[in-house]
Amino acid sequence: MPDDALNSDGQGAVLSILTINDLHAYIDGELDAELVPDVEGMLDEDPRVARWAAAYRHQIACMRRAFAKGADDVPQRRREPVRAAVGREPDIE
Amino acid sequence: MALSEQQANEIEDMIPAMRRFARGLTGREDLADDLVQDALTKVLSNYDRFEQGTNLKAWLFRIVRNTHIDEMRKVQRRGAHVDVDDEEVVQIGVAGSQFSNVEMLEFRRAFAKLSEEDREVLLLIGMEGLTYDEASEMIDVPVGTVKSRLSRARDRLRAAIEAPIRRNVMERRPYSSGMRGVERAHA
Repeated sequence: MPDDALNSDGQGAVLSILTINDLHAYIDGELDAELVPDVEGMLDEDPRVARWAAAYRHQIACMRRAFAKGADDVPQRRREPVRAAVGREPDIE
Repeated sequence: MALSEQQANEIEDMIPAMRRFARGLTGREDLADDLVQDALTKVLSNYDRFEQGTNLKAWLFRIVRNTHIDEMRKVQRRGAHVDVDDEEVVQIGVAGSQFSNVEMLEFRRAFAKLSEEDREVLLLIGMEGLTYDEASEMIDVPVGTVKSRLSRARDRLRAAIEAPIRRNVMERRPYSSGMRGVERAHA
């Protein structure tokens, strides 16, 4: 890698290898295992990266909060058609 | 075909996930409930097409998604517009400790402004925990497309959430528009 790939705090070198998609993949537990230490190093060393990750984790938490609450309380009328299909031909629309 | 007890249990266990996904797609509990009902009807009448041993959750989500897309097309043809139900948004935020009502309201409004394509990738991966491979299979695009859609959708959602805040706060946020600029500068 050429020296000019480095910025003043040395993070440019890492960013030129890791992409923004890799950071999302890290958050989602989808990053290749060999790249995980690189991302974790960035999170430890660069507060901007740590803030970035915290913001997107919070976004995901908001989404779960917004749409998951109460979703487990399935009304009986939604379960009934599934139960009714046990052991017989289901109704065709 | 008739369902076995076990097959019915497997579908039943997935109804909460279908409800979450439907809520995220529609932005409203009443519409989500209708969507799940319609999707379950299709699930039961098409169950013989489900390949046993493959991913049931992905198959069910695909039906929810396709049913939603069909419905949106009908709505568009009628020229109707669906709003996020604010009253319901407030109600959903009531018991929150980590999240304020206002934050939930703003989040849902911002989420509702996203495209269908953005919403589905955010929900499938962030909320439902599908792997990138599963999401790729489900929405029928390559994994690379899933990754770039996800990254862009998260940026757009963040921008939509922060838009009202930016008017008041003059704080510099180096990464608020993503780090692509940094990458480009040093690539």
